[in-house]
Amino acid sequence: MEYLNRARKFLGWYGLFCGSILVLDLLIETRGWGFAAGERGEVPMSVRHSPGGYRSYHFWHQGLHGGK
Amino acid sequence: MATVGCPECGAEVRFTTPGSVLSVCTFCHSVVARRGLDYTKLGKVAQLAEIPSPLHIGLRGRAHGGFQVVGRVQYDHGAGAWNEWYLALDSGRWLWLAETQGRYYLSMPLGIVSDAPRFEDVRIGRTVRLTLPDGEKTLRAIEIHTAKLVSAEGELPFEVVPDEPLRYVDLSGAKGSFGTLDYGAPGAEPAEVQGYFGQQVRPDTLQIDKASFEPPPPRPAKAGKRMTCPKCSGALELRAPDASMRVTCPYCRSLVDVSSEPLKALATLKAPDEELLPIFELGAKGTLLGREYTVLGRIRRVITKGGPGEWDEYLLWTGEPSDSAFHYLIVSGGHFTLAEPINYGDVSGSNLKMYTHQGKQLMLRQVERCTTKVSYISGEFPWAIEVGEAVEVDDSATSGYLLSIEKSLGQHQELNATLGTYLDSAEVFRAFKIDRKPPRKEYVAPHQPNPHSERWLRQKGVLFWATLTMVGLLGWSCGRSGHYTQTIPLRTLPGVEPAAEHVSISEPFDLGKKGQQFAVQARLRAEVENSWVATDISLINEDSGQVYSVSLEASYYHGVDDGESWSEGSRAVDQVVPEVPGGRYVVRVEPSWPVNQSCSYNSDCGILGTCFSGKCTRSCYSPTAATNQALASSGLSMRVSGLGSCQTGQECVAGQCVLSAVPMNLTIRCPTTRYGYAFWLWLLMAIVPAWTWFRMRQFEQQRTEDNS
Repeated sequence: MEYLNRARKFLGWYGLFCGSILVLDLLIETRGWGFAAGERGEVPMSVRHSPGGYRSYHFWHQGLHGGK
Repeated sequence: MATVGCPECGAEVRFTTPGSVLSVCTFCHSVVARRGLDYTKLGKVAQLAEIPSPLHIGLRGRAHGGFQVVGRVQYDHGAGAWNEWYLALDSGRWLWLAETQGRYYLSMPLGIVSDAPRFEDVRIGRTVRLTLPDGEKTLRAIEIHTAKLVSAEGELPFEVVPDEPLRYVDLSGAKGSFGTLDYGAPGAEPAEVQGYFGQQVRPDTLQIDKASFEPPPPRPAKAGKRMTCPKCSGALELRAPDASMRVTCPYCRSLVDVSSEPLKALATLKAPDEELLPIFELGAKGTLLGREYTVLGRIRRVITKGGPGEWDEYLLWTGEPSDSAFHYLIVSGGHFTLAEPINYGDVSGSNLKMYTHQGKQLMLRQVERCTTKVSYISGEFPWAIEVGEAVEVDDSATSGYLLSIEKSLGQHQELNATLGTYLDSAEVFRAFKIDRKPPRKEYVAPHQPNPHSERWLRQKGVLFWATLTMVGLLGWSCGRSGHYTQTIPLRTLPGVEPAAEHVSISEPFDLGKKGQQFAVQARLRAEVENSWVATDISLINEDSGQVYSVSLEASYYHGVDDGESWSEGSRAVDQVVPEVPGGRYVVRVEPSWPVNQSCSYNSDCGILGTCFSGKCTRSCYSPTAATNQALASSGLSMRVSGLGSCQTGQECVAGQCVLSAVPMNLTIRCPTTRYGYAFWLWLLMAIVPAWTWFRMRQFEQQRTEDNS
C-alpha cells in the first residue's frame, strides 16, 4: 500500500492508470489475452482415434485429403 | 575646513568639505552660503521633521571609495516629507542618498541635462533618455511633482532657498535604476534642468563604518503613546505608528492626520453600509506566501470609468517601517490577490507587458483599463489617503499574476506598479483563521490559474511517454509476430455442393512453445469475384484434444452502377483466437461455397441468365474437343462462344453455368500483434487528458466571456 502511495505521489493517478494499461497491453501481447473468439471444446482421444472420428495425418501414415 | 560665525546668531558654522557651498546653523537654523570669501545668510529653515532613519551627519561608509554623510535636506510635496542625504566622497565628488519610507536611492549629479523635456510636457510614463559617461539610459517618468524644501542640516553642495518650490520628475529604469530631473523653481529655464542618475540600494551596500555609527536617539514611541481622536477624543490605536500618516477614528469615523502633532481631523467619513462588513478585521494577523502580515486598513475602490465594478483592498504590513513592507490583499468577486509594489522601470511593453519575477519572465496581456476612486476607507495608512482619491488602472494578467499600473490623477502625478499573486481563497481564510466559508467566485478572474492546465500538462506528458512505450511494445511484438506460420492451400469445386466429404485435416504442425500461450491468427484469403467462400476452422491440440473453432467468410462484390464503380467486402479476412496453449496442432477445415451466383432479379444474372430461388441459372454448351475442331473449321466458333459460353468467373459444368473454382489460402500464425487492442487501450488512456483539455478550454472560454 505504501509502495502504491509512493508511486501515486510520483506519477499521479493518471500515471498509475496509464501504467496499468501498458501492463495490460504487455500481457495481451505476450500471453495472448483477449476476448474469447469462436468456440472452445474438446475432442477426447477415444473419439479422435476411433474409426469415423477425427483422424490425423500421422495416425494413418499416409496422405489424406478429407473424409469423415 | 572653514569655520565662520553665523550671520544671525554668531554661533559657529562649519564648512568641512571643499564642495560644500552652504551650511545650516545648528542653533538658529539659518542657511549660510559661501560665496568666495563672503558668507551670506539665505534664510531660515524649519526644525527637522521627525523621520526615522538609521543615517545621521558624520556617518562614514566604505562604499564608492569612502564617504561621509555631511548634510541633509528635507523636502515635502504635501503628502509627506522625506530625507535626502548629502554624501561627500573621499575622492572629492559627492552623491545624494534619497530616503523615502524605508527605500534608498543613491544618485550622482549629471549636471545640466540640455535635452530634457519641458516640465509641462512631461507625462507619467513618458520615456526620458539620460546621457551618462557609460552611455545612454532610457527611463520613464513615474512621478511629477512640486516639492518644497522645509528643513536642512549640515552642509550642502549647492545653494537652496528655504520654502522655495522645487519642480522635479522622478524616473525609473530597468533593474532598479533611478533618475531625477530637477527643474528648479517655477519659471526656471529648461536649460537649467539638473539631472541625477543612480540606483535603488539597500542600506547594507553602503558599508557603514560601525565606529562612526551612532544609534538614533530613542523617539517617543507613538505606539506607547495614547493617541486620541481630535474630534471625539476616542482612543486611536496605531499598529504601524512610525509609518502611518492617516488613521480613521473607529468611533466618530473621522479621518485623522497623524503624521505630525497636534493630530488633525481632516474629514468625517460616512458610516459603512451593512454590505461592507469586512472579511478581515483590522489588526488580524495571518501568514501568506511565507510572510506574516497584519491587516492595517481597508480601502474600497469603485470603477468610475471603464465599466461597473468595485473591490476591496486590505492594506497588509510585514512589520517593517519601509514602503516595500506594505502589501495589498485585493478581494474582488470572491478572488484573492496578494499585491506587492514593484519597480515600474522593470516593466516593459504596453499591451503585452514583460516582467521578471523571481527569475521567471512573465508575459502579461492587458485585460482592463479603468478609472477608479476610493469610496470607503477604514484603518491606518502610510500615505495621505482620502475618500475620492482617483487613479487610472492598467491591469495586465497571466496565469497566477496580475500586474497593475496605477496612475494617480490630480495634481500629484505618480505612477505605481504592483504585482499581484493569485491566492486560493480557502488558504487565505485558513491563514487568517477565519472559520467561515470563503465567498463564492462570481466570475473567472483574468489571472486565476486554470485549475485544469497543470493537470493537462502532467497528463499530456504521461500520455506522450505511455504512447512511446506502447509503440515500442507494438514494435517488439511485431518483430516476433508470425514466428510460427502454417499455410494451407485450398480450392473450391465448381458445380459441386459443399458436403461433409470436403472437410479436410491438415498435417500436424507446431504452434508456439509448449507451456506458453499465444493469440493465434487464422487468416483466409480467397480470390472471389462477386461471390463468397467460408470455412469453419478447428484448431485441434494433438496432445490435449482441446479444440478452438472459428468461422471465416471472405466475400467480395463489385460492379458499376450509373457509371460509378463500387465494391464491398474483402477477399481476405482474419480472426484471432486468444489464449491458445503452445503445442502440436492439426487444423480441421470445413469449407463452404456457392455453386451458382446469388441473385434477386433476372437482371442480376446477365442477358441470358434467369434468377430462380435466389440463384442464377443459365444453360451452356460445353463442346467436346472434336466438336470444337469441327466448329473451328466451319468458322462458327464465334457464334458458339457467344451463345453457349458463361460469364466471366463462371464455367460450364454439365450444361449449366456455375461459379469457377476459387483458390484460397488459409494461414495459421502465432504470435500475432494485437493492433486493435492497442488502439482501444491507447484511446482509453487518451480519454482522460482529452477530457481535461476539454475542461481547460471550457474554463478559458468562460474567462473570455467573463472579462469581455
